[in-house]
Amino acid sequence: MGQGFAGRLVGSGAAHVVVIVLLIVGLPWLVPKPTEPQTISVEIVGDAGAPPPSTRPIPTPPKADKPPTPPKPRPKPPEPKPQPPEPKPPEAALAPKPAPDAVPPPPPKAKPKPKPKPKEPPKPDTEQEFGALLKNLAPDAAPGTRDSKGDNPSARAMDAGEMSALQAQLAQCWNVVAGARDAQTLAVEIEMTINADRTVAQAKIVDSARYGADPAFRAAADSAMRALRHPSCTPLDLPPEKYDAWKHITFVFDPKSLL
Amino acid sequence: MPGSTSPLSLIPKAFCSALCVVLCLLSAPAWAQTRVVISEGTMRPIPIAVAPFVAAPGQERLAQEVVQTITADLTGSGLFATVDPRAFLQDPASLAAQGPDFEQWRAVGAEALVTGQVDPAGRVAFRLWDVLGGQQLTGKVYAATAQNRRRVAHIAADVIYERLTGEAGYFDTRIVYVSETGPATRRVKRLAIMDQDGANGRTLTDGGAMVLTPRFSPNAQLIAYMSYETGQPQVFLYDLNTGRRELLGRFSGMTFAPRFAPDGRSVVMSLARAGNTDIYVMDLASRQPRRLTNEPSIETAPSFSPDGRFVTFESDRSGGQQIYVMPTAGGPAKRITFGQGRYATPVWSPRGDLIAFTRLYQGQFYLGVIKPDGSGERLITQAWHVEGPTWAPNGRRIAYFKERRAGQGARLYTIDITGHGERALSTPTGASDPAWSPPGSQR
Repeated sequence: MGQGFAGRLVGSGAAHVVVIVLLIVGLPWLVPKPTEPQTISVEIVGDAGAPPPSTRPIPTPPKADKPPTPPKPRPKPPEPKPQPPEPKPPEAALAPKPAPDAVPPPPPKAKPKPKPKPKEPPKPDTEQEFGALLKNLAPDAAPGTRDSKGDNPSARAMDAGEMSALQAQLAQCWNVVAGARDAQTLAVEIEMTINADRTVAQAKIVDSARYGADPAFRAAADSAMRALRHPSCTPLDLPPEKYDAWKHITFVFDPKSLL
Repeated sequence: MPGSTSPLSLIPKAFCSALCVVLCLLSAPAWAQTRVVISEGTMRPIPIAVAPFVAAPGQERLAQEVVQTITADLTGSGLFATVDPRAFLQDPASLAAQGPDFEQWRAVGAEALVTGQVDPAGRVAFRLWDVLGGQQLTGKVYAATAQNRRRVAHIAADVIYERLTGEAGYFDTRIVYVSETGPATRRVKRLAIMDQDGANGRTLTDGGAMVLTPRFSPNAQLIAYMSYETGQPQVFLYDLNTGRRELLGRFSGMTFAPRFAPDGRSVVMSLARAGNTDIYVMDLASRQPRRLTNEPSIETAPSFSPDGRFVTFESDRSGGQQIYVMPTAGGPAKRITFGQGRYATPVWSPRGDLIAFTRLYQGQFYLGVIKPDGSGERLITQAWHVEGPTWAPNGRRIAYFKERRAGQGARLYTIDITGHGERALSTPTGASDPAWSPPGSQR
């Protein structure tokens, strides 16, 4: 009897396994959930679990600071890929217009960032803005790659090349507070939730107590934050098809080796 | 029934292990939180925009001067690059009415933004904004008058500097130095003082006697310096409040290289007597000297650690000129430099972590810093003649004098301890031997 029962158990276990596999492969957004107990960043995982409503991680952006209201003065409608590597300040071009008048039209403040509400199209749009700066991104980011994949590439971890591309990108944006006393103790850890368009959705300095109490640490943490939000690092150099691998990242900005 | 292997107890085990294996194989990479260490970065000045302050009628000049002074302070620190106002996109009216449009400031490359206003009563209010994060970092209000407007601007710049770098600012400080005029053969040297940015300069002594090595007391009211007023080198004290000067102790030999203790109660200096130079501490209240070194070699250029417990000095006891550290209470000195050439004029940083020095090697002068334990020596600038390092009170910047070529005359410079951002300080005459005041010394 023990044998038979055990057999059934195995069968049942296998069935569970199949279900689990299906869950993982078919519904990638569920995957992070198990993370909760495993990682430190309970809060972030929870946050991220909720908003992405569909199977695809694409439409997360609403989390950005602005309401998803369709920003009116759209720089340009979601154009196709052909990315004319515009200089840098595309906003600069249209900004002067709203500027001159004093009061009524504050809308320029409606940041173009949250606009990528739709989904795929915004990708090329952001690309255009920064294409000139982030040459590696353009090829990877071609929309559609995600859809065309049969397996769930979103669940794969970033490989070494992708990791070092991200590090290299941020190294350019991180302006180190040089010459600070005890620079070796100023490593800053930031837990970040990233939108599918590879912009910062939420960033949290882990050691918030020290941030409040230690001006040197606060300055170091601020400089790390500036790096993550720097125009040259927006969007972040991340493989678009591996969203699940990077939608939560813990960044450690460590100036130790720089002084 | 403990100990039994009931099939039921197998369920969780079997299930769990299957679960673990499958999850590990299939999805482990996806749910390990990715951790990315950034250990490389750039060291460039922080781009900051200082917007024109909105001025109440009649306060336009004050507003303009405050903005100019803040801009010059931040730029002069070497840690900030101010955005050219001609590039600004948001005009002052819109800025005043709606607050910063961060997109527009981002577009001109600013990462931080300073805005402000001056009300009819002359109160200066300013705010510092994080452009990339879209939030205010700090804001202050000061009462300014025609007399103190520069000081208010310096204090505001200090607040900005401190918030963005994490170090105390040093803009509300002064520098005393030796003004040099006349030909090299008949050089006239006077004590002179100015704000750290070169403004409000004036001379303190008449040039009748040669003066050297002025040093501020910790309360910034006294200056110790060496003068030939009596015919031979002696240490004097100059009172900035009264303009009075007095000889510090009557010694049969020469006294020179004075420096105040961090508590201001004593002065450490060299005394040369009978062909030997040693270091003494002079108590200012009792005027009693205490001998600190007792060597047949030359011991000079003493400087206290900021906690007053140690003194660093130069000595040729090893056969060459090198730097040593010893307890103020007395005891053996430890040599901390071992490089080639000669090391001189060690000066302990106010924040305690470094000692600045000059080094002469193969006919070139270098300015460097080293940790008090003798590790981490770094040379930060070099020239035909570089000497007289003095620390900004935040321990972040060093002022010194430099001659690029023989006969060119000495000028004052400042540099960041990283060796970046060297700036010339504008002085009306040639200048040497700078000494940076403690913070808040402008009165």
